[in-house]
Amino acid sequence: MSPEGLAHALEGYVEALRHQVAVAEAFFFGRLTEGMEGLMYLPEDIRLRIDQIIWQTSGGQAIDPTEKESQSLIAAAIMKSVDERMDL
Amino acid sequence: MYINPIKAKGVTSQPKVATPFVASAAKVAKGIHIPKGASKGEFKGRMWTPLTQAKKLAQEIQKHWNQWDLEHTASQIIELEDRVLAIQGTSSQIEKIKKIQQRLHFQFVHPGATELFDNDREETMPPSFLQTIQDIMQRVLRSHSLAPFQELTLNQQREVFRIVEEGK
Repeated sequence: MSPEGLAHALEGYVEALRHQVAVAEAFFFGRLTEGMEGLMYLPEDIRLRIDQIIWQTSGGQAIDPTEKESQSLIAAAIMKSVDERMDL
Repeated sequence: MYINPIKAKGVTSQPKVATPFVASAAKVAKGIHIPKGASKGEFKGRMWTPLTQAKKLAQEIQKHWNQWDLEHTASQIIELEDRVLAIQGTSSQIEKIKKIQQRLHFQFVHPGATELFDNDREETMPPSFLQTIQDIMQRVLRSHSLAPFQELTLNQQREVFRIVEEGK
């Protein structure tokens, strides 16, 4: 890989994480359509990981995304995944 | 059948005559009291005061994000929210300040998000994630070598390779 290609990929890494934050933010503020659409653009393994975090946090219970509490839970799960991807 | 034009009884209409300009200007000026010493520019900006105030407060919060204690930051974010709610109308500037206000609120609840937007940290603080990535990016380009990339953790490197794969 060329240094220019790597620099571009590093930029893409930050952008991908910013997109994920924007998705979490959309859920947090109840913008469900925007949040759902944003989720579709996340890589499949990331979506699965978010599902898993939600499952673990809710104790395996189904959640209703139209409820404020569930929206905060989804946002928190997405942000946990962001933290994992940043690996700080 | 012929219908006569309707006429109000007992009303003698007078043709309307335009008031002379000077007279009407004087009439308007009578009703407006401009405080002494106030410039025209001040009045021009007055309409946008709530937006300007909100912008200023947002800048203050961003500037002191790492210095203020949590309670003060929270109170300022609530204050900003109130100011944004008070802004009337729609414009790109208003939409922008609403987004900034929501972002600050969100970053307060989820501090991890600040790592991706904070590239103006004080020197005494550890660099943000964004600063670290930008630093590596610049060194890769300057040295024309991939060596600085090795400073990232294995997970971070894996994430960068994911982007490379997605781009193919």
